[in-house]
Amino acid sequence: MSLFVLKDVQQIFKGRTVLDLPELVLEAGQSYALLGPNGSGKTTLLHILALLHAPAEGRVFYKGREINWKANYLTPIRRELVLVDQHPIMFSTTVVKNVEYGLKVRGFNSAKRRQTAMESLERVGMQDFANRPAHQLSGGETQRVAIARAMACSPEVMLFDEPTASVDVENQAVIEKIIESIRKEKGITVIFSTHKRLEASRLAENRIFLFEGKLTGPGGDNLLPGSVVRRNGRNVCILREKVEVEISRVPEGPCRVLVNPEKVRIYSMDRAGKMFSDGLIPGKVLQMTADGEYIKVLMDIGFPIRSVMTRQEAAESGILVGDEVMVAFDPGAVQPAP
Amino acid sequence: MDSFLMHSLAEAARMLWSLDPELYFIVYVSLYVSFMSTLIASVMGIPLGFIVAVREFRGKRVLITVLNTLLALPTVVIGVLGYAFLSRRGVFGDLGLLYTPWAIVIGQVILILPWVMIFTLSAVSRIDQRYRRTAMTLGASTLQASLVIAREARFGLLAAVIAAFGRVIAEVGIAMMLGGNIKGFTRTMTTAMALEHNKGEFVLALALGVVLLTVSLFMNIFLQVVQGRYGSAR
Repeated sequence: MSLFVLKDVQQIFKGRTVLDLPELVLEAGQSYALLGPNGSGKTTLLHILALLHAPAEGRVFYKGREINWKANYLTPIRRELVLVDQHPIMFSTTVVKNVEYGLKVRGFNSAKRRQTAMESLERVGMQDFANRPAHQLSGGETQRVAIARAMACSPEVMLFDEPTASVDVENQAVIEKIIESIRKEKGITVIFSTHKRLEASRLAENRIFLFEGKLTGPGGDNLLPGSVVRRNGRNVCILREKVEVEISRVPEGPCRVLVNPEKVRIYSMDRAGKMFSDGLIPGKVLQMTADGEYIKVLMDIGFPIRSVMTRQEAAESGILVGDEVMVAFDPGAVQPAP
Repeated sequence: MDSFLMHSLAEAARMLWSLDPELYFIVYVSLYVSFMSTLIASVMGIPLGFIVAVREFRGKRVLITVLNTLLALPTVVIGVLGYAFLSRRGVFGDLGLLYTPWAIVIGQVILILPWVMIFTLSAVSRIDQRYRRTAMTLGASTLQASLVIAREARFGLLAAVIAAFGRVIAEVGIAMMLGGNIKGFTRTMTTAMALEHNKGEFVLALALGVVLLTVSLFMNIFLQVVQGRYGSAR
């Protein structure tokens, strides 16, 4: 039996559809990363999965039973799930009382509450902060206490909204380790949203790509809005109203396209100068990250676009972060999104 | 003027020091009706203000506008309306409440209920939505999550109570028109002041004013202590 099944789920805010999922199935004991740009519906989906917001349309099944969104029915089920916000908020009391809160509402006695809370704080390395006012913690410390507070509830599912987005590098590593241990040692289902593909690769067995509220394929990072027009007998897609790329078999008008990162070529200015300039787009390298044998390159060509190259290709190109470069799209690089 | 003021202050001190039973009964009636009306208005107004703040419903903006307008409701208007309802010919005439402390309490509740609701609404609206969401995801029921919000809004809620108490202990119209300023029964500090003023006993009137301010000062110190105690992280 699947843990979550979402059928024809839509979330609509102020007349705008921000989430539209024909079907999504999540299994118990697995870890899932929700990937996608800002506004792609990751947080909205997490709020539905945490049973905090009912979808405007569609049905949500948890452990095979359809969710009844009336408050009285929800509380017992919600106690099996905990969401840790991107910017967690602490109740204006001490750290340990924050961590005890979930146990208090479940009716545990004070001795059991204190013991469990201290164990949870120990797991995140915050036991020395137990009696400090929670509002005095730094961002990273707050995030760790929020995780301890969630863990103290002994949930079956833990959801994290961009858990490392607003913390320093040191705390990022600590938080990633905590999430990994939650997953491996306790067998808790972990679902988290992130912008970081590497983090997703490290922590999640499954990746779910969202774009403009819809599920997309693994090329989701390069999913772009475009507009197809016919020019000189060819179909041309204008990406984000800035860059023109040839595309085939698409009717004219607005569309969404996937750009295959393997078919995005990058040339240093020296090399590009010796080439025929037609079809080359100026850009700047923003980020280069190693992923196994490959180097992933994030560039700005008027909008962010990702490319991937082998380590050897990267070494030969001599491209570094911050370099001005020229970008070209191989034939077939741009395909209509499913 | 200075000697007049000094004379009044000295008279106020003498009245308090002499343990005059009449004065202390006036202070007692003032505090009793003010406490009762603040208590009743708080018990009604805080939950109502809370609901208006957290719920979305048709006519919410109209209701808030009406409540804001009621903040300016003159005490004499409440006094006249209260008289119409509580007098023998009124709808509630049979209850025999007119010219009793409870008539003052009823009038004062009508006066400060909008105050408590608006202050509560304002305090709760300022509370970060994440408190409710965090409480809910940690397993709180709707009521438990509401208590979390109330706890986080406690400074604002206490301010509502302090403001409401300050408003009723200082009002004179309702106490005069619904209480009748009956000596030893419904005479409050403000109605006693008005009476002494009418009699030309300005020193005594001002002395009662000083007593009123002193009582208000101690009440506020007490509430501030409560606020400080429960405001710290514990």
